[in-house]
Amino acid sequence: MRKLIYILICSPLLVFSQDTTVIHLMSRMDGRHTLENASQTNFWGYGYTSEDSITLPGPLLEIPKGDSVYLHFYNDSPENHTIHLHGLDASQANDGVPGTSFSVHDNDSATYRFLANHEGSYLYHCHVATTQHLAMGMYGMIVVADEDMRLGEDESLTYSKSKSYLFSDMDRGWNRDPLNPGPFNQYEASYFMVNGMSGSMLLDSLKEQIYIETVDTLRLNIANVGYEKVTVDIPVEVQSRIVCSDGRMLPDVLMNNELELFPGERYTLLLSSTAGYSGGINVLYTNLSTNEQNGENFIPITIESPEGVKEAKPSIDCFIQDGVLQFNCQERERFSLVDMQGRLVLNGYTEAGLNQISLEGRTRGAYILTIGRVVVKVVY
Amino acid sequence: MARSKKGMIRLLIFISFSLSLSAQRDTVYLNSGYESYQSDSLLYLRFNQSEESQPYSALSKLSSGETLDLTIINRDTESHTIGFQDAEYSLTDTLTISTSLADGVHILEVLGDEGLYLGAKMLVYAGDLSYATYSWQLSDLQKVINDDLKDRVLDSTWTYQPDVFSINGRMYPNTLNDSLAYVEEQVGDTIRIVVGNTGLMEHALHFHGYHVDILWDSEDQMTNWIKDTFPLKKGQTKLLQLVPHQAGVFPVHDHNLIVVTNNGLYPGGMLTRLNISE
Repeated sequence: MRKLIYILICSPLLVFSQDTTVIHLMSRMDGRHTLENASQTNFWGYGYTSEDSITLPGPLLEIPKGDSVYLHFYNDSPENHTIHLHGLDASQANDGVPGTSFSVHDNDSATYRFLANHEGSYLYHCHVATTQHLAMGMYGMIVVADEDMRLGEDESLTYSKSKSYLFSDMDRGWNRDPLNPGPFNQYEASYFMVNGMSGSMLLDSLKEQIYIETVDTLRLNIANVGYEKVTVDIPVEVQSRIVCSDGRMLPDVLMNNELELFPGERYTLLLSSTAGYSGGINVLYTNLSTNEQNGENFIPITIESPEGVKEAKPSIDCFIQDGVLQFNCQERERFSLVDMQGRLVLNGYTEAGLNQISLEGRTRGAYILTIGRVVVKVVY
Repeated sequence: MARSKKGMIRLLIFISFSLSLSAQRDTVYLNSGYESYQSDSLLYLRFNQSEESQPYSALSKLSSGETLDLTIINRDTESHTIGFQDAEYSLTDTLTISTSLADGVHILEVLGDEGLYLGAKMLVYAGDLSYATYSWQLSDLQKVINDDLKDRVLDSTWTYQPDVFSINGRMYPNTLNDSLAYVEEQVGDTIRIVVGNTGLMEHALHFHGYHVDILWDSEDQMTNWIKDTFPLKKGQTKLLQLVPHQAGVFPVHDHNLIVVTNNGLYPGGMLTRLNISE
């Protein structure tokens, strides 16, 4: 009954006024998350109180710069939880750390207050038995943005669209059996996510794909809440400006297409291209103890000319015969072949004329072939 | 008048020359011993500030422009090779390293397996010493490798899966007993923190409550960046400046959360606190 009353008073979801944002979140420990192979796993997490359910990751919280934020939190689970406002420099009382702040007990609620003074990307996560609660999925991303759609004061840093990606990982053994996770230092990431999705789920999700026009500048908010280093490899055809990290402007804008995000780090980039492009961003995950790369994902990007001057969508005829992928190219171009889990299988440059790539020994199934701006699905 | 002016200039040149040649004399002791760890023990080899053998790491500091005159007294049973500033030195009983040092945070280490796996490394900071200066030497070790090294010879090949994480050789909550690791200052103070990764894995430090200025970075990746979370790769060092805008007690820890554990138990390891009063 108490929960029902709480849900009723917590509607609507987000209340925006000129300078106040009110958010209502809840936590639970009974989530079921669908994995890439269609199986389901347990997770703990956050969700909007009004929706009475949790998601992995928790909801993306978008807050206008300069707002005073009231984050009401209801814990609908049998264990204590908190919300740590990672990077927002909240006061000690609002820091969400048991021992120095407070815990929110089961079936109890609390309100966190903070100021969103600096635009950028942030995180929120539980700080109770953090190694386990975060691994179980109790995290989400916060984006603070100015209403004038510009980073800082420089006119050249305006943008027209925005997209946010939260990188994370999971030790599936821990999620399968949360009561017996084993020694916490033996966490081994075995499932790698972008906004909770992995591999072909990302390729198939229209919501997660980047689609912009050549007149657009995309603000890309990225954050790593996992236990591994994430390397983001943006194709060279896309201009990438790194503008901001951890909610602070960099001393100089960096023109760089590859960047590393260590656990807890965040970046804000501006992406644009004057020419059409189809391809994607490679996301690589590296174990910090062994320095071995053990996961990959792929975020598709399409950049097209605006309506009216739209270029003919390029295509290419390709086929597989006797285990050899064959296609014709007009000129030498960069190509890549990724599997449906987003793993890079081959890359390099094509030759003008007939190209033949042997797939012998490769796993049979569907692959994504990208040649310059052309993306085609091939089935072996 | 002209003569007096010339004399003054000569005096200034003499003073600045003398200053540039002044040496910071320091002595550290290379000690070995055992520390208790969960109901067991860990062998350590550490540079200590005193003769007394302790599992805590020393810090050597010198002002900008000073030369380092560091004497290392070996109280371990074995001879060692010391690496510092791309040079190697043989250490049997006593060694004095005299060298000029650029401003920044440098790592002095015992070379070889004992340096890698027993924590025999220390930070040397050259810079402005007029601020409150703290030091965080980040280290990770693996208990089974430590056990293997008890006869001082590594007998097996191990897949590195560290389970001992420390700051200046102390694991949380013992980091709060370390005056170099536990920061106690006031709002508005200028605080300098010397930080270096002497472990075998990469770390990512996260500050609660504050952002810090990265004044210096050994890899020059983030110099002058303002961050609350940043990487420290193997052997990487940074100099941080914090001017707290608010009072409070806030944690600082590695955000690879396997590292905030002691033998797999949370909380522990690479975790300390800032205690900032009004």
